[in-house]
Amino acid sequence: MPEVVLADGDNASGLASMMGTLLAQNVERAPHKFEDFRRVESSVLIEVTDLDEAITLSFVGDRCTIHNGRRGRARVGIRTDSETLMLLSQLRVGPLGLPNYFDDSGKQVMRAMSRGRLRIRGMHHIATLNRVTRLFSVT
Amino acid sequence: MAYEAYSDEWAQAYKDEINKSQVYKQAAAGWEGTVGLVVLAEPDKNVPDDRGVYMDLWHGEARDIKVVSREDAEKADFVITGPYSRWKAVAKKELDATKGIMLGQLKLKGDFPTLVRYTKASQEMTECTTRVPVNWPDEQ
Repeated sequence: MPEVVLADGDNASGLASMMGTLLAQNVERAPHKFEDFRRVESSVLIEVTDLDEAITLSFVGDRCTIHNGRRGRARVGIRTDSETLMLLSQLRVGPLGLPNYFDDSGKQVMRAMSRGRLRIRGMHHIATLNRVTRLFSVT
Repeated sequence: MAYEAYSDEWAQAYKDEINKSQVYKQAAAGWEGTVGLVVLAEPDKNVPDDRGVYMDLWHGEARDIKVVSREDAEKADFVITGPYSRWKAVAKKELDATKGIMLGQLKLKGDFPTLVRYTKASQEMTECTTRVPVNWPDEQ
């Protein structure tokens, strides 16, 4: 059973706590996401520009440890604002497990990207990016 | 006319405001569940006791909104807790509730994936709060 751990415990930031709960509940309610969880096997940095907050999610096997701030060298980095971060979680996963960028949420995400409100480092790690998108998708 | 913050009259006005909102009706069309707001006391701001707001929300309609004890508010399916001054900041549009949660200034208990799906509805609920004129206890 995948486990989400807050590295900073009671001192975990609001962002770490929220994203940790979202991830844990999402995987718990959709067991088919277990496989994505196990196969990320890398770190993902999320920076929220308007809050001046960042977290690093380190996926190792069945465990994801969420650290406040930057930790190590992440394979994928997502830099965005809080509103777009919420939009990313509303991306629908379409056929073949790929995010749908053609519905309303998808178009808004694409618009945020074209306007520089969403920057993704490590986009060539497309499998990791798609897995993380699926893990956080609430649809 | 301004209402005393977190009074029965304020709760009724807030409910009316939500039910007037077409944006909320549409955004919360599939919502089922109760929401509790816990307002933590700040005696230095003239709020000596914790208070609660219990909202029965159903398919885009506010069926009931009432001021209750903290304990009763905590019985809701989703509970958002914060000190009085944070809630006042939300109502005055100085703090976005989602950002407040991300910053740890407001604490959320409940099913996050459901709430994320209804981000637009929760934003509109905040908008409705801002449209209800309030007499704040620390401004009297």
